[in-house]
Amino acid sequence: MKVLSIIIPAFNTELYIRRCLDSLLYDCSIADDLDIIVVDDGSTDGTASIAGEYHKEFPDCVSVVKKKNGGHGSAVNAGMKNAVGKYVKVIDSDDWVDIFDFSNFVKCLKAEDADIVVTNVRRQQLYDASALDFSFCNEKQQKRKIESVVEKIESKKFFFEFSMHSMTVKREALMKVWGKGLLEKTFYVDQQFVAKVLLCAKDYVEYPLMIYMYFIGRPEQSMGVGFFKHIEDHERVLRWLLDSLDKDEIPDYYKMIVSKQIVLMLKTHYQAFLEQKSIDGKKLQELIRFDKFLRDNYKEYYSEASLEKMMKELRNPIRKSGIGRAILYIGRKEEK
Amino acid sequence: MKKGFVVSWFYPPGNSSEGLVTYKLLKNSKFKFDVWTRNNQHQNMWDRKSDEKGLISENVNVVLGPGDMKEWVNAGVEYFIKHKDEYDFIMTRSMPPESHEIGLKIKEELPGIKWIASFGDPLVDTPYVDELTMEKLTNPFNIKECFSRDYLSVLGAMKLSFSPLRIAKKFVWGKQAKIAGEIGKYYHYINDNVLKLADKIIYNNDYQFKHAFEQDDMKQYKEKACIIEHSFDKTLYPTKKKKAKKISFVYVGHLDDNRNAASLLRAIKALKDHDRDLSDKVSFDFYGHLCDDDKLYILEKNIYDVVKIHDDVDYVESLRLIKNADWAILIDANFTDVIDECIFLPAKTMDYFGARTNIFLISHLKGADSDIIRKTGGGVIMTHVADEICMYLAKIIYQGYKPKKYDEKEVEKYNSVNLARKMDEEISLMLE
Repeated sequence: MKVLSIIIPAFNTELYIRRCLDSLLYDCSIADDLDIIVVDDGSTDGTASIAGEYHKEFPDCVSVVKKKNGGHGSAVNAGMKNAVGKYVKVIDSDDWVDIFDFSNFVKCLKAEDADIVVTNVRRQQLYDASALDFSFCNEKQQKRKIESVVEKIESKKFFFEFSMHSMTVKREALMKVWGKGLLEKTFYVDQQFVAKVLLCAKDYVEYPLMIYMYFIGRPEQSMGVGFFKHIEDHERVLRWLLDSLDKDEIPDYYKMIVSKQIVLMLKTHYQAFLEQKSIDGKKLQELIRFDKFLRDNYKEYYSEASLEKMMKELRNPIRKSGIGRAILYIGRKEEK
Repeated sequence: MKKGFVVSWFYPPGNSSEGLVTYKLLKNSKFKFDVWTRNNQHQNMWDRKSDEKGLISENVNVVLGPGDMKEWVNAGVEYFIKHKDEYDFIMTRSMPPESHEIGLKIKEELPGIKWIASFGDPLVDTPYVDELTMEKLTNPFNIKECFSRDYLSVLGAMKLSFSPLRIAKKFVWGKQAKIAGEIGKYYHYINDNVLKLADKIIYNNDYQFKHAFEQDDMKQYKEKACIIEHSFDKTLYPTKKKKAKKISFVYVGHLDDNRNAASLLRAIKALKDHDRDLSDKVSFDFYGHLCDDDKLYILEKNIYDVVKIHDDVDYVESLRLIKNADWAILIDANFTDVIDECIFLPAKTMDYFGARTNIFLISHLKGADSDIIRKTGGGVIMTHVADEICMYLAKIIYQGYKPKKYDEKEVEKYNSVNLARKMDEEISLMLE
């Protein structure tokens, strides 16, 4: 049985996908344990043909699934359908893995039993070629019950270990809650993926390995300059997450983690609007409608992040010299 | 045979990128040329130390003007006016833009003269010039800027308002910006007037061409512009390749604060952390100028057993070094936050093509050199992210990774014989 399925959703990333595949296939000794699925989400550039080259070279290890464009979530769904590994991990095609730790990681996974394996993430910021490490642990920990994360959150030692980039999930467990999968034709489904994983997992373990290289610097990156373009998707995911909390028998740890994610997402959501130099009327109306929906139905989140709260920050006379500056200020406060 | 008057601040016997580009084209041209250059070739940072006395060609006569830029401009105009009957056309080549200033002055005196202007780098709306001119920056010591940038408290802000140090810095910055602003205006003036008055304009890559005509008021001049890329001269390379005992990477040329080797050095350091015996397997040799930070990094991080810095070498020697290396390093400045695509084409790209040495390119993934190398093969292309560079170094050193072979047909496009022919055609068309 393959140890690890890697799902690579790819859309028009011909300039980046080689780096991703080169890093995964760096150590040929683990190739037999890998099930790399490149899901070409209707690319119009050379992405599929590049992936095809790797399939030709590593036919037992790399496969290419071609489909009509349906967004990140739909590509992950297609990947999940084809995955056969004991564990599954999603890697965006413009990101890659650390070649030194990845081999160890795959070897460790062979003997692993936990539902979630958390590994470290490095944010690679191209514009100043800087790297920021998100290290969740420095030494191998014992497998822990997922409920134990509550203590971590309460003691404020929880720093979003559970993200799409940091998690590798036991496929069998995930399939139990997968259902229809992630939202189709929607960006920012990462949080939805995390929510699903949280529902399926019984235990988790942290490895002190730096695996995921998260690349920031592609001009068309969805979390970058193009965020505002897909803001409706952001709202859709937010609503899905809010909705998921309304269900019965939701465990406490799920509520705690997802709530934190929702607050962060809400702040980003409002910021994205306020960052714009000009906002078209329709989008503004939608924002106001969403804000009202939040006020009426989710008071606890509304008190944390609302349009009014964000505007108040902006009205601060010292900050009003630039909306963007104010948003940075808010971001910095959040980090503290 | 028709004869042209070429204005180029850089030209052999001085060793500089722009001068060598010009030399290779002129040498293979069917026209005769007098090149107006200057007598002191080692006075500024772009002049490499070595002399290029061997780089001569029968159809080119070098005329040396004064070493002072201002004097050189005026003397150049005077020289041409005096000898105007000897020439059928003029050709001006930047950088620096002062070469074009001579063209503008000649055109003013003799409007009928045919003029072909070649831009090495774009002069306006480029990160290099913006940095130089600071024209787009707000004074960082302005109190409003300090408030919003430094997240000051009200008290902190009030204190800073009256800080004599801040006020002094604001004043000095303002003065510098004013001077720099003048330079920016000068670049604009040269660019706009060359586009307006020259009969033919040469750019060296598609991106530069596109960039030049982005502004609506410039689009009208697009018709007279063409692209003549940089070239290599087959005859200047040694015939045989000498293989080193370990994998060798070489860089020959000028690196500075903007275009630096920082990411590459960080990658080498990361690799050395994994492999103490790295120096037995690979060597990195830099010939020419490295910025101080890079030199310090090499010392501080103890990677001088792997990375060696050498003095500058002459052009023919540099081609020998490139030919003998396994990999030739090419580094562009990281301007990711300013431009999405790299509009600059380093001339050494083509020198590497001529040697058929594998190219290790650190640049924007989209841009002039990355596009060309993707077409010709023979290279691996990566961003300035150190971990990414480290990965490709590891692939080369431990797995013997080799890039796609050079496509000979593509590479031949950059043979100076072919590009000189292209230039000759453009000149002939202009003279018709």
